[in-house]
Amino acid sequence: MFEIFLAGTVISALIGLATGWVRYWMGFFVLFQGVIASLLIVWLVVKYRKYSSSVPCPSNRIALMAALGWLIIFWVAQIYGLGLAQPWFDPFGYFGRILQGDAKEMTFGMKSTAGWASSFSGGFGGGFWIFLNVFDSAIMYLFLFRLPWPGPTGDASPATAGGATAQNPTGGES
Amino acid sequence: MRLRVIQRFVFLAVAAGVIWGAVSWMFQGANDVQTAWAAIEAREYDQSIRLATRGIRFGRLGTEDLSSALECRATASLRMGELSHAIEDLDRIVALRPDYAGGYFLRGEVRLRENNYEQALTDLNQGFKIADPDGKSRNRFLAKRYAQRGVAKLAQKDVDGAMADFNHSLELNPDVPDTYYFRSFAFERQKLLPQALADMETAVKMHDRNVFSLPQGDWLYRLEQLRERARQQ
Repeated sequence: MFEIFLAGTVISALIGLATGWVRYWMGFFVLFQGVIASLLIVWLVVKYRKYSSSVPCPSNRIALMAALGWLIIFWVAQIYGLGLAQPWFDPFGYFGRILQGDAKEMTFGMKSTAGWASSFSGGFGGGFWIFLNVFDSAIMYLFLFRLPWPGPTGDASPATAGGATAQNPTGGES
Repeated sequence: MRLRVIQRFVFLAVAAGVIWGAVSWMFQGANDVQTAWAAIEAREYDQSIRLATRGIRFGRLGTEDLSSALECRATASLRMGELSHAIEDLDRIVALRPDYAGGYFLRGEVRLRENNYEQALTDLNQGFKIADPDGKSRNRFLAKRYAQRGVAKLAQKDVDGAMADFNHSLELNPDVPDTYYFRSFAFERQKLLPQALADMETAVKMHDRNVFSLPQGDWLYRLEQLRERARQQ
């Protein structure tokens, strides 16, 4: 299980680096970024898991901690990747100014109000920017927690992993 | 086996071509440079640096557009106080277009901010050699550069030279309070206190006329000091 966690860490770091690099050039795609990055991580982890020896179904606590670890690694790598794309490495200054509301990040996304879906784009900074990032990361966290591990029957495919319940989403013992 | 290798190679080559084509199509360098300058106007310096860099890296820009992108990035760096980054870009502009006065002028301005007066003077002189070789140009945009050269000369203790530059700057554009402010120092060095006081009063009045300008505490303090000294004389 630890092997899977380590593999997930390396994969999260690599995907985080790439995401940060792309994010600097193209902007922040709310939701899309989190979904694509987390599904890529999960896909690669599951691919790796199939090659490794049989993995027991982890408890909820372990799955939650692993997902949190991957998410943190992803964010650190994303910040570093963004710094690599900059002409001069200063990702903390860049994000710091956006956090303070002194600068804005180009942001894209989709919104739905009263059943009317439309796309939006613009420069965001400060509190709303934090909210969008937390929202994106929350979706990522959900995927990273739920999808990479086998169900209690040992089914390797996350899409068909059985045994999950509302109380125990991974299907393992908590 | 060999066929599979060739197949993979062709697939990778096509994929790389498609990605490169898509990147070139998405990031149109000239548009990026234009938007980067607009971001400067909007005081979005981080975005300006990002867009200018995108143009430089992916935009396949010609010499003039590349120089414009570098100048835009240097301007943003200067406004953010990242002087070494600005100098790096301006060195590239000067190497790229040695006959372009703007590169020397901006580098002179950055050197002035660094308090590197000797090199600032060298750069500004070089800029004037290209933009105004006989000193007869009536271009209002040169007023700022003459005033900057005046400041550099004043710092080098060439008071007469500085005075000549400030006067010329005010001839080209008399609506810049900073130039009066700096000229008041030149008058003070020449022991012409009434003229120094008059310039300082003009500078403060002009500055106050602009509703968007913040009050300059050091200007008011200097004005009071000059008034006090004039009263004592």
